[in-house]
Amino acid sequence: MMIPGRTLHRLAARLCTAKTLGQIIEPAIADLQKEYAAAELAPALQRVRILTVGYLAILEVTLMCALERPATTDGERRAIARIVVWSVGLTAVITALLMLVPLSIVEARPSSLFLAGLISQAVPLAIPIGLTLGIALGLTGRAVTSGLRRIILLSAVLASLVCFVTLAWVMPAGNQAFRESVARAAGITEPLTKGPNEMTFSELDRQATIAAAAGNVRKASQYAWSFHLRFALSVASIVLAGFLLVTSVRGMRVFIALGSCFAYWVLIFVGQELAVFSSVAPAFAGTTPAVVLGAWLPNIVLAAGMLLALSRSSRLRGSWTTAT
Amino acid sequence: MDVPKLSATERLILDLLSGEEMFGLQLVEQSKGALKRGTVYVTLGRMQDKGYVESWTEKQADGAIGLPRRLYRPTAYGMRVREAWAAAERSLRGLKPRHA
Repeated sequence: MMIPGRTLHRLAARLCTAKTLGQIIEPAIADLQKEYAAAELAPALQRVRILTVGYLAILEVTLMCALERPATTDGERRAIARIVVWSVGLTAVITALLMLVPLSIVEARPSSLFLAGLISQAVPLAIPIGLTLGIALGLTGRAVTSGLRRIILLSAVLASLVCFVTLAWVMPAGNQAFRESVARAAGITEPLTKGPNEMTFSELDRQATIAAAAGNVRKASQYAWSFHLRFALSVASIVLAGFLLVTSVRGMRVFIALGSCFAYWVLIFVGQELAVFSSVAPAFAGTTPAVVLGAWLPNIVLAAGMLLALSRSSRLRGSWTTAT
Repeated sequence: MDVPKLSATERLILDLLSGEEMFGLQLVEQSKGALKRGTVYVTLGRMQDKGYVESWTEKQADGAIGLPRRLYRPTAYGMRVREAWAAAERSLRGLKPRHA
C-alpha cells in the first residue's frame, strides 16, 4: 500500500529545524497517513480527496513555519503576506480562466466530477503562473533581501510538490473518474481505454514500451514525452521563480514574470514538436534524447537564461567593485 | 513580569482539551470548523513553547505503517492561565463607564 508524505517528510527534514519537524510537520503528515490507511478500501475519488486535503494542510503548515522562522523584519513579513495573497488569488483566477473554454462547450449543468477533472488539469499550469506573477506583484517597489529570497524559493519548492502530486496521482484519477461518469451517463458500460492524461507514470512507461515494440514510434514518443513532461512541469514553479529572482529589476518584474510565463508556455509546444512530430529533424524525433530534451526544453532555456543573468550580474558587480 | 497571553484559539484548544488528551485532527473535528487542519499544529507548537500544553507521540502497534501521531493534554499551568483569563473576563464584563 502507498504511504503518502514520505518524500515530503524527507524534504521537510532538510528544510526545517528538528523542533519544527517533530512538533508541527510530522503530526500533520501522520494525520494524512492514518486517514489514507483507514480509507484503503474506499472509492478512488475519496482517497484522492483525502490526499488533496492532507497535502494542502501540510503545505499550509510548512508555509506558516517559513513565515514564522526566517523572516525577521516586519517589511519582509508584509512582503511575504502580499506574495501569498497575490499568488493564491491569481492561481484561483487562472484556474477559472483555463476552465472557461471546456465549460462553455458543455451544455448541461456540469457535475462535480466534471469540475474536479477540469480543476486537476488546470492547477498544474495555474500554480506556476500564479506564483510567478504573485511574486512579481508582491515585491512591487521592494528590494529582494536574502530572507525573502529563501522564503520565495521554499514556497516555489512547495508549489512544485503540489504540482507533482496533482500531475502524478490527482489528474489521472480525476480525469478517469470524470470520463467514466460521462460514459455511464451515456449508457456505456464497457471499461474505457485510458489516454495519456489518464495514465499514471507506470502506465505511461508501459504503453511507451508496448508502442515502441510494435514499431509505432510516434505513439511511443507521445507517451514518453507525456511521462517526462509531468516531471518537467512539476519543477516549473522553481524555474520560473528562480528566473524572476535572478533577472529581477525593480519596476520591470511584472513584465519579466509575464514574459517568462508566456515563453515557458510556447516552449512546451516547441518541445513537443521537437520530441514527437519534428519536421525540422525527423531522424531525431522519437529518440530518447529528443523526448527528454523536448519535455525539459522550457526548464533548460529558462535555467540557461538564469545562469547567463547570474554571470552577467556578478561581472557587473565585479567591475563596480573594481571601479570604487 | 509579562502577563501570560492567551488568544481565542488557544483558549478554545484548552477548553477542548480540558477533559482528555487528543490528537490534533480530533481537535479540528471537535471544534466544528473553528480550528483549521493547516494551522492547528502551529498553534499547538506555540502553546507547547509557552508551557500551556504537553505532547508525546502515540505508541504504535507492531507492523504499523507511517509516522506516529502526536497526543496533546493541557498542563496545570495552562489550566491556571485559562482560569485566570476566564476570571478576568468575568470581572471586566461587570464593569460599566460611570456616566452610563
